[in-house]
Amino acid sequence: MTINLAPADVRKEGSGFDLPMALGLVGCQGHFFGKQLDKMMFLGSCRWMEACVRCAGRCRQRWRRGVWVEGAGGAEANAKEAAVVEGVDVYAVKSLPQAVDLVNSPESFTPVKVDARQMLSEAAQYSVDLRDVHGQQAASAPWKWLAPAGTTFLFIGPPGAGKTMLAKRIPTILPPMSLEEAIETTRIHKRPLGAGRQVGDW
Amino acid sequence: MGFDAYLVEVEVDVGSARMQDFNVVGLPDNAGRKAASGSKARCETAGSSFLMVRA
Repeated sequence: MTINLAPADVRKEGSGFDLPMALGLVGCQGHFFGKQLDKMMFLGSCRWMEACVRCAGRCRQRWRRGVWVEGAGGAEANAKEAAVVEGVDVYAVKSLPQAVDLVNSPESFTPVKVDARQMLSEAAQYSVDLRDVHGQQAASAPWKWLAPAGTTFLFIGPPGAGKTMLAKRIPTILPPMSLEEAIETTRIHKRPLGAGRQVGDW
Repeated sequence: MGFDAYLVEVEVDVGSARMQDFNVVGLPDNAGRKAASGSKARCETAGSSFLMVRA
């Protein structure tokens, strides 16, 4: 039995191939009744997926059809994350037979829908406030007007100086992000740091 | 700007080899190799209709 992952010259990483491989094996058994799977995108694993937004974005560019997410204990959460990308129908399946049913009769499944703008407004409510900061003028005063302009900062100091405390309050004075900006930020946030990879390598 | 995903096509061929033998090609990492055997186990635990026999 041969499973080919194309293109061959690209290193395949991650656990997102569990579901496509399983569906390929099921397809070899004739369970799809001649359905064309090359117009669909499958994404899933037995574990939590880290890159749903990126993959949903790729799906939108190519097909505008469906991303089907499977994950034990995380299917709904993964699907909600992927559904943030507009123009893609995202389905959450929890088992292989359910995925097969989805291929054979997609009209009987309802795509996951999320209100991304409401999620964004909820995320803009912060539990911390810049007004909590007293002192530390050397660190806090400059970025009060430079941070909204997009200036990059590097905090250096001994443990307990307040670097993290200040950094957590930077988003509270930034202008609200648009949906596209939030997706770009999520892509960076969800980027796993592999062994030996430095932040500067991004 | 940001990071993008790349498209990977998964092609499965059930040839004349034994059904227990898996050969995953296309530069998979360890997780990708283990996914093949895991997929077979998943098919077999999904129900009797998914047992790995030649169609």
